Amino acid sequence: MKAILVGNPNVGKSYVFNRLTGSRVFVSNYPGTSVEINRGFFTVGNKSIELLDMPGVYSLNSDTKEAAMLTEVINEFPDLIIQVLDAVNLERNLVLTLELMRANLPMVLLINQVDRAREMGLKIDSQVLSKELGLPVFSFSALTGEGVLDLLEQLAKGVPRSKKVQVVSLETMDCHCEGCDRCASGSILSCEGLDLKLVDQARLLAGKTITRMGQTQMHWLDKVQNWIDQPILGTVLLLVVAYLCFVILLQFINLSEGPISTLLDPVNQLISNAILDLLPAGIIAQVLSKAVPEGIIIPFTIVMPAMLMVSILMALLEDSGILPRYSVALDRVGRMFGLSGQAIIPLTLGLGCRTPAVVATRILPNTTQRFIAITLLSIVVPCAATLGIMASVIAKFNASLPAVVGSLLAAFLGLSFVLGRMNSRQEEFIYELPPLRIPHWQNVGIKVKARFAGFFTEILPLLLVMSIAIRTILESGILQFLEGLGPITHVLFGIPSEAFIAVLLTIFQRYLAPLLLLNLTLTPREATIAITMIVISLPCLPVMVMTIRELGLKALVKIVCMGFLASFLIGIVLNLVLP
Amino acid sequence: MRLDTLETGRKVRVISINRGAGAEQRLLEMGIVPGVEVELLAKHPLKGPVIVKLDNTRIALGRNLANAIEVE
Repeated sequence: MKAILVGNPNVGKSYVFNRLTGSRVFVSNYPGTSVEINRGFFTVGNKSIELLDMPGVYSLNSDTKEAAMLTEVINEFPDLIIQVLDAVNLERNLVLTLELMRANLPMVLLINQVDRAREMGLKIDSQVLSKELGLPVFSFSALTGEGVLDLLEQLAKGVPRSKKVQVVSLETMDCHCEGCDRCASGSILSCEGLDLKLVDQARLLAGKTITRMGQTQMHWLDKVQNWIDQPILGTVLLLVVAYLCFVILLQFINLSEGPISTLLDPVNQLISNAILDLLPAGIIAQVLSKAVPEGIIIPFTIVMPAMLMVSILMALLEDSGILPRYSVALDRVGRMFGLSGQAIIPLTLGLGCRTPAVVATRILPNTTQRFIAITLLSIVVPCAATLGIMASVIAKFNASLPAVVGSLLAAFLGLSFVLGRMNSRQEEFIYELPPLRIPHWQNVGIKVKARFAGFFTEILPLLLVMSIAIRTILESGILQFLEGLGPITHVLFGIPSEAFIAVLLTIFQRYLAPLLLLNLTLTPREATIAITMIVISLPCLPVMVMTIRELGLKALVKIVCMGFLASFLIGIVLNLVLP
Repeated sequence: MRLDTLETGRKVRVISINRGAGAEQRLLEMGIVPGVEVELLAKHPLKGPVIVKLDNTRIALGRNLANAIEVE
């Protein structure tokens, strides 16, 4: 049996999904967290139910990819529709209900967040709504589990089909909206006149279902929300929060490096000795005894703290509902660069890992904007792992931090300015701001764990393997053959050929390239130019794969060309400008 | 009167939404329809977005969109 979970954005569909299937799909507090269909299974009695968690939509006839996906799935006649509604915004949510009822499929309504509605002094009578619509309706709280048993009981009994809506007879309804060319297209769903009828009907239903019990109590979070949504004060507060996040991140990396290396040093000594003891003396033992400890110490002391802290901070920003507020505060700045404020969400996610950030660009309104955002992510947004290694290169060679950061900013501004010209027609900003919430520690924990897992499964093994490869190259003397390139790289970028190899290495994985640098002897000036060229260059392999999936190969080729161009340009400019 | 010309803090009723702003469909979906009451919470300077409260949600709207909303 196949069931689909649908509803407006940010009503808690994924929470319900996790509750029912025991999955651990990411749940965040902003509209558009789930942009793909999640699949899970659960059993009721002897029935096995496949549950599809659909991305949120406001209406079936939205002009969005998500609405098209949902329509497609509904046209395959699922056995059951479970709609999740937000208890405190019932009216708007019911419009979607009425649209869904046209499909005439078995359907259940879950009025989620009833606990929050109660706090706001709203009493919701699911029985009344159930009678009006002829559908099973349950008060539900995915957070506390209220209503879960009622739902399972109903599913075991079976769910009746929804009746055709009584609002209007679709077939005979004449459309009178002026200048409406959509009615002629045959898509009755997209006609404004009909929509308004549904809205009226939804308002009526909501009025019957909800009783106001006394005054809404002003929660302290509402007060904070009022401050943060003020134009000037809010923007200042948001900037302070962003600044604090960066300070916490840098301090954390700083403070943790000492203790971690103290802990690891004896371990590494042991490994190194063991390799020398076990392997026959020779080049292999020599390479491994150096490469393995190096390949362990760098990820643990540099990459791990950065990834951990970024995961924690990001989960807090997401779950508290603060993240989308940046999109409003920064909208005017973004517009100069052809991006709507929403782009801040994928760009910030990119500071953690850029692969999921590429997927998150789906919340942007059109392909042009998505291309701009993915290009910026690929070329100028350093991920947590890159940031960590960048910091270590800067520290080791005493490279100039202002020059690196300045170049990054200049590249970001320059690129987005050029790309912004592509997007001539600006889409109008429209975004629902989620209510502020205290992040749920369990949910934060799940996210941090999932995002941080990549350290052990991907980054640590890769860095270890690459460290061995780089050591081998260094010890074997292959690099001497490349010295012929030296004059060219010296004139153009002011860096030795080995450092240029590191720049080209970014094709595989950006954060691997600086590893090679760490093994060279470079002057501060050379190190500054080389690390800047590395940080501003190419998307890593996983990002390339995602980009092809999202925008196609042609877009990726463009991005890669721009990446090389930007990187070389910055190298040349720095070579001319730096003393 | 247009929504974006109001002072912040005012509660008004939406009368109509002018066509041509390119997003009337999206406004309707989000519940900004003729007849509903909205409260203007904030207007970001330099023609930045406005924030309106509708029922229990807050919606951020671009200035041009806000200008397309006729209120009483």
